[in-house]
Amino acid sequence: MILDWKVLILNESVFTSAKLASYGYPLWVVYLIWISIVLLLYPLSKKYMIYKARNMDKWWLSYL
Amino acid sequence: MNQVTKPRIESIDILRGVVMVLMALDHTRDYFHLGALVNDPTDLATTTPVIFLTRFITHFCAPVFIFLAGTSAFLYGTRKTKTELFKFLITRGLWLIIVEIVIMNFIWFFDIRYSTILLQVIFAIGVSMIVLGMLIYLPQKAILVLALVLIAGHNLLDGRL
Repeated sequence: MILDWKVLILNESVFTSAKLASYGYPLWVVYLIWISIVLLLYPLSKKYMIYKARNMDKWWLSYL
Repeated sequence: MNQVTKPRIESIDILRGVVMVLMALDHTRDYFHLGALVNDPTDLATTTPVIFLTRFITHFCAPVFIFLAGTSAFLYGTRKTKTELFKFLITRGLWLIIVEIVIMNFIWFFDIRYSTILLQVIFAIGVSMIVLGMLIYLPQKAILVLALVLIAGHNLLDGRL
């Protein structure tokens, strides 16, 4: 669809022009991507939860 | 798998998790939905019911995050001294402000020149934590009154700032 990755550097010109007006997918694709991202992140989040619970002495963990 | 001991209130973490999952829907829509960068999903002239509702349900997320930040600050405070709570809220607030400006703005816009800086929910939570860090020295009733004024009265500022 859009091949140049630089198009998605969202600087001022993107918001003041309509150059990305025709970029995007139908809503059902949005939901599909959403579910996939959540499923993908679930095991990572779970690992992080366990790591965090086991390392409560590490002060910086409460800042993440 | 080994059981991990968690001296936390699970319902708060679960609610936070649900809200995060829900918020991911809105951010996915921002990046992948046709015309999301040009059209406002709550603009009744251009939206459809399903697009409107997709945006609408995520309106619960930011207020829940902010409410729970206050709840967590209170719970943290029950186990620590006032000074410890003050330090924690101030340092965390400053950290969140830095995160919003330096990290969040980059991963929102992918623009290393930072030509646009948006101060959003994480910034608001950071500033609120710094303010809360000082408010904890007031009596609880005074904090309650202030909270009620903020929650019930903030709409009076709409369109004035």
